[in-house]
Order: sequence, then structure tokens, then C-alpha cells
Amino acid sequence: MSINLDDYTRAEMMIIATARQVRDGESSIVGMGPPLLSAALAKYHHAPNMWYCTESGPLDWVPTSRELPAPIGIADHSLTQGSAMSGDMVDALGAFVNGGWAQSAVLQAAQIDRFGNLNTMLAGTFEDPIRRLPGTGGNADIGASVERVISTMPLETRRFKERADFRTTAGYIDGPGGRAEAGLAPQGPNKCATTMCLFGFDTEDGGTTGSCEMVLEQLFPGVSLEEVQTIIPWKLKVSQDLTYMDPPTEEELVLLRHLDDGGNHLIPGRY
Amino acid sequence: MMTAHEAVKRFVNDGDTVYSGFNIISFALTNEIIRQGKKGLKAVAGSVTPNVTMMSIDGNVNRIETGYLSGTLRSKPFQEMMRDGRVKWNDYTNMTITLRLMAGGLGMPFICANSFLGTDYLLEETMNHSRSLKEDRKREDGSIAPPYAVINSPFDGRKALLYPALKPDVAIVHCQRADEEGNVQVWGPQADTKWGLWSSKNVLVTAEEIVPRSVISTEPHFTIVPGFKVSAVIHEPWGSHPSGLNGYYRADREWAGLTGAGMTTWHEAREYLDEWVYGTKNHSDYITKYKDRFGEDLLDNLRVKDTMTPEQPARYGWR
Repeated sequence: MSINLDDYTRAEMMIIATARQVRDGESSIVGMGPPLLSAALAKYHHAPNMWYCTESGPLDWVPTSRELPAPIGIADHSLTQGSAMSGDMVDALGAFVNGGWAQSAVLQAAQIDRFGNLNTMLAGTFEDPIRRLPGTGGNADIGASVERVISTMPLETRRFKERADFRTTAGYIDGPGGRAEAGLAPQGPNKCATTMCLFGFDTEDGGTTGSCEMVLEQLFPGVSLEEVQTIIPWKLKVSQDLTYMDPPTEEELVLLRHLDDGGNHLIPGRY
Repeated sequence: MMTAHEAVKRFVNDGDTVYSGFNIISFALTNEIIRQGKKGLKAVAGSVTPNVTMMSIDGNVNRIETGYLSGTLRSKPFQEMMRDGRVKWNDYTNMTITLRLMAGGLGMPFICANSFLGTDYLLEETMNHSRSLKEDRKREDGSIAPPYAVINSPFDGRKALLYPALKPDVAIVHCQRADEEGNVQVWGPQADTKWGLWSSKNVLVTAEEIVPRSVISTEPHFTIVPGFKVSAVIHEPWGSHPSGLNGYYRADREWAGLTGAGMTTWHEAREYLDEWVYGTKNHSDYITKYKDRFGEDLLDNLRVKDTMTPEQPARYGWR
């Protein structure tokens, strides 16, 4: 199959950038939506030995046939195919995640803030909501315990906040020392992959030192620093080593489009 | 063995707390609860699903404790009721609800988890917002118990969170198979199901297949609760339609669009319930109506055709 490598969408680049943060051999808890697609791409592409686990109980999904599209939900029946264990929430979020066995998590959220806290609860406030969202699912459980969080969401001003409207999932909370003060273990290096760029966080030891702020690490091809800064409502930290991320390879794009199966995940109009 | 009608009539009472979990949903029992006009129920589950939206429209359910509103917010009436307080709720997480059910099942008063440390769940305005379940948390002396509480561990002084046990009055669930004694067998991802069933006083189960005890006992590892824990077992093919059942049928993604079951407006909600719930006598009537209206193929295409057979079945023995 020959495809035009210049013809990809920003949503596709977001999924590819997210997938690139997933490491081969690591154990990962994968959340609803674009994360299921990103992690499936990673597993098919460069991380065949990643442990792909979801919170409702499937542990270590190893698809034996490459014909299937990516799982749609965290309890998708196709997660049974080739899986090592079909457990429950106590196994997955309890023992695997809170027991400290999950090295990374791939999560979506409605908002992220300057210190990497995620919001999946609401826009506005409880008493005067602009929009009520579904709630945390397992994100709060995961943010409390997992070593490294890879979050993914489109780069939009309503999603990037100095302080999230509601912090459902702890990142670095209010800055250095925040996690320790709250009673949580260190976390990182966390990443946030968007439709225009990749962010990291300014801390080398999981949240004790450094500013713990979001840092622009990589711009996607064709995106300028100014464009990103216009969307972010605070003065954005930029890495001294700011680079451009490589565009999608043919293999990544072909795999991604197969796994997305005509917009199962990247629903036209939504992303 | 009884019918869904008998089971709901006998075991679901107005004001009950009802566990209805998010992987294997009994729409057969959901519809029956609506038909019988049960009122003021509280729905609890790691995630609640569109069956809870359906039960909220006529006030069957007016309180919720959950970690995730899965698909329920597509309904504007549901959003409206959350806003004006006709539906009251407190937010938890998938795991903390499961652990609360586990605590209930194990007879413990509370359970510990660290999920809300460092988050806005700990703010007073979250725990006791104006539509929260303060009334349900009233202690005997009239004071309000918190929905969860931060403590310093008596063992090492570190911060920890306690969550109260959940003990629902009744659980409704669909399963792959059960026998007449009510031994419930489930496979595939189980989410919060096992503890939802162990913690509930009465367990009502619809089963895709009723099998003899001998089928159960050659594969007892699939039994998630034994028969003595189950109050009613009901044979109900397609009992979780429009949601799926691992190994039997996939979720019906056409359903909401075809029937208006997204209940996006009050008018649509009224029409859906009148036609598809009140307008059907029971679940097999509902399935017949669905086939008549949209064709046999629609359901047939949902059936799982490539099923796995064990390469080397589990081997039990004793001599």
C-alpha cells in the first residue's frame, strides 16, 4: 500500500506521539478512548513486550491476530484474545496499579494544568457547572500510584489551565514537594502528548526538586512555538533542547489507520 | 428459578440501594424495575451505564454513588436532573467503589486506599455539594458523616484515606450461565461484579443459559458466587442486550440511534420508555419487538461466531 506521508491529521500525530512515549517491556495500564488506540499502536509497532492492561481486568493482552482493530472500551471482548489473565478491578486497579506493578499509564483527560494534574470531572464548579463530565473512572486511582503518566489530549485553551477546574488526578499538585506532602510517592518522567506538541515536566526526581511545571519539549512538524504559546494561558516553560518531533513513518500511519478502523477512536468531528 | 417480574416484585423495594455494575448489565431486570415503577432507588457501581439513565427518567433511581457516568450524560434530561437536584450523588472512583463493595462483602466497616490524596475530592465543596448524598450519610445523632476521610495511619503516621463499606440491598446482573440453584458463572473481564454480588443482601441474576450442576462443577473456577448467595435466577436469552456478553454477542451500537434510547431530550426519553419498556411485557417480548421492527439480521450479526475452545481444559481429579 502506498500512502501520502504528508497527508495526516493532527489527531493522528497526537496518537503517534503518545504511542512513542510507551516503552517496550514495561507494564502499562491503559485508559479509555485515544489511550487504547495509542497503546495498541505502540504494542504493534515498537513495544511488542509491553504489558497492555486495562482496569476492568484484562491483563497482558497479546493479540494473536493483527486483523482486529484496537479495543474500543476497557472491557472490549477482543481484549480476551491472547490475554494472560482475565481478572477484575481488584486485580487490575488494586494489585497491579496500587500494588506498584504498573510502570506507566496512558490516560486521556478533559483538562491538564500547569503542574500536570488531570481533570475528568467538570468544567466550572459543582455549584455552577459549565459542563459535567463522566468522572474519573480509574484515573484518580492510577495517578496516585503509577510510576509514570502519559496523558493525551488536543491542544486547546479550554483544556490547558493554570489550575484545573477540578483536580481528579494528582500530578505534581501545587509544585515541588506537593506529592510528598499529600502522602503520595514520586512520579515521572510524565509526558503530555497533544495535537501540536509534546510536553514534559520540570523535575528530575519525580516532584521534589525543579519547578515541576509543564515544559515544551518537542514541536510537531509545521508547528511554531508562538502558536503553542498562544493557546497556553500562562507563560510556558520551553526546554533548552526544544526539538521537532519526527513526522509519522509509513509504518506508523498504516498501522494506526488499520487499528482505528475508519474512525472508531478518532471520530470525525470530535478530533 | 423465577421470572424477572416475580424477582423484582419480591426483592426490589422502594428506596433500596441497587448494585448494577458495568460489565455485564441486566437490561432485562432494569426494564422490569421501570415497568413495576419502583421509586427512589440508589444506584451504585464502579461505573454506572445507560441503564441507570433509563431508570432515572421516571424517578426509579434518584441517587448515585459511582466513579464514572458511562454514556449517561448523553441524555440532557439526566444532566438536567443532576443540575437541579432531582438526582443526587457523590463521586468516587472505579476502584474505590469496588473496594467499598469488597469491604461490605467481607464484613469490614471501611477500607483503605490512597486514590484521592492530593486531589479536589478532599474539598468540602466536593464532599458536601448541594446535591450530594448528605441525607444518606446522617448519623444517629443527626450529624453528617463524610463520604470518605483522611487519617494518619496509627502504624506509621502516614496519610491514608478511609472509605465506608457499601452493602447494597439488591444486586442485578446478567451472566453467561447459571444452574437452577443459582451458581453464577462468569468469564471475561469482571470489573466490580464479584464484590457487587458478595456485598448485596439479595442477588438477582439473569442467565443467558441455564445449565445442569454437572456443567458448573466441572469448571467451578468460573463460579463468582455460589447458589446460596443468590435469591433469584432467571433464564433470559439476550438478557444484557443492548450491551454485550463475552463469547455470546457484542454490544449493539445501532440500538440507541434506532430506538431513541440515547434519551437526549425529555420527549425522546418518554417515547423510548413508553414504546420499549412499558410497551413490552418482558424481555423476550422486547427482543421479539426489536427483531420485528429492525429485522432478525441485526441481532444475528451481533452473535459471536468465532469462539475459542480450550486447547487443554483445566483438569480436576481426586484419586
